[in-house]
Amino acid sequence: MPTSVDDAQDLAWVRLVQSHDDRTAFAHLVCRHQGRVRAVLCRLTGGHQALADELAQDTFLRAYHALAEFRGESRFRTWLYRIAYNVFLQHHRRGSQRLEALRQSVEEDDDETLHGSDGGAQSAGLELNLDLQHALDQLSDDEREAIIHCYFADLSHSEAAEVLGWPLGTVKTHVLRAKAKLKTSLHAWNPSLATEDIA
Amino acid sequence: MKPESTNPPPATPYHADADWLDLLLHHAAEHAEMADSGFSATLMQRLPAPAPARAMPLPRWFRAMNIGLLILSCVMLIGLLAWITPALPGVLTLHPGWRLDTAALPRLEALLPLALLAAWLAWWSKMTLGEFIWPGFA
Repeated sequence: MPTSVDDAQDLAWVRLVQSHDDRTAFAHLVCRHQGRVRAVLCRLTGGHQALADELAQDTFLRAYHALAEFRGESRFRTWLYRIAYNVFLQHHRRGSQRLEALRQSVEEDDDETLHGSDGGAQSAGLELNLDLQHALDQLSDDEREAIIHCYFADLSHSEAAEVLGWPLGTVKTHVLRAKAKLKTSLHAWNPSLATEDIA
Repeated sequence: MKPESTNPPPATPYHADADWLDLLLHHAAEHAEMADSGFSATLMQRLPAPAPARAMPLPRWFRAMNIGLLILSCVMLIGLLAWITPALPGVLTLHPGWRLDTAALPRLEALLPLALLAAWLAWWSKMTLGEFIWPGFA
């Protein structure tokens, strides 16, 4: 992934928004980052897509209002994920019970979708998605957030530490512990096991 | 997850020694990325309306000149009234006994160009000054 070119383009669009309130440039930024931001928020909210979209809208609106303060000291996407994480935390503190109820309803929906679908590849994708969500749910909040930011937001450990506001060592520890737990939870997806079974 | 210290960045975000869980998580992350499906359009509609374009600020010398012309036109109008009406206090206080001094009529005729100039200066000053002295007045 050519990060440096993407980052330079991001910064050029940010400068246009800052200097001329260029809505087209902001639309480009949204188009480029909305997919990942929504996916990260979707994982953080336990797979609730509608809620994730709502939080993602809030994230981008806050980013738009705060863009004048962005000085380019970090990558734009790191800065954006920090806003997204703060939006999630605020929502989580306000209504964690509501979130839990929504999460359960989503799990029920996912089960229905999985059993109702008939495409093999699609079914496998949904199964992985569901298994992954269940595995992530078994992690502690900190482990889950570390894994989501390092893998789903595609951030380095130091960037994830910056977004989460944790020391780098804490992020690395949580990632290691989370991966150990995920290996146990998702061992059925280990391709070497499937090979051994066939042999 | 990208390596911590790789400069330039590698062609693939995966570790060289990525295990099956890394690959699985990256695979899931790539497929979790959501299509726009109207998200951007909805967001752009929720942005605040753009601020109206601001008029170019007038240069300082131009504003000073306008203020000077406005003062000059006021002085000229007051002087004109003083000249054509010997009973100036009566004019200013709208005294009921005020009347135009007929003896001044020839002088009034002579001062007509000056009166027109004063009126034009007053109008022009109002038009140019209005927006920053009294927005919406001009």
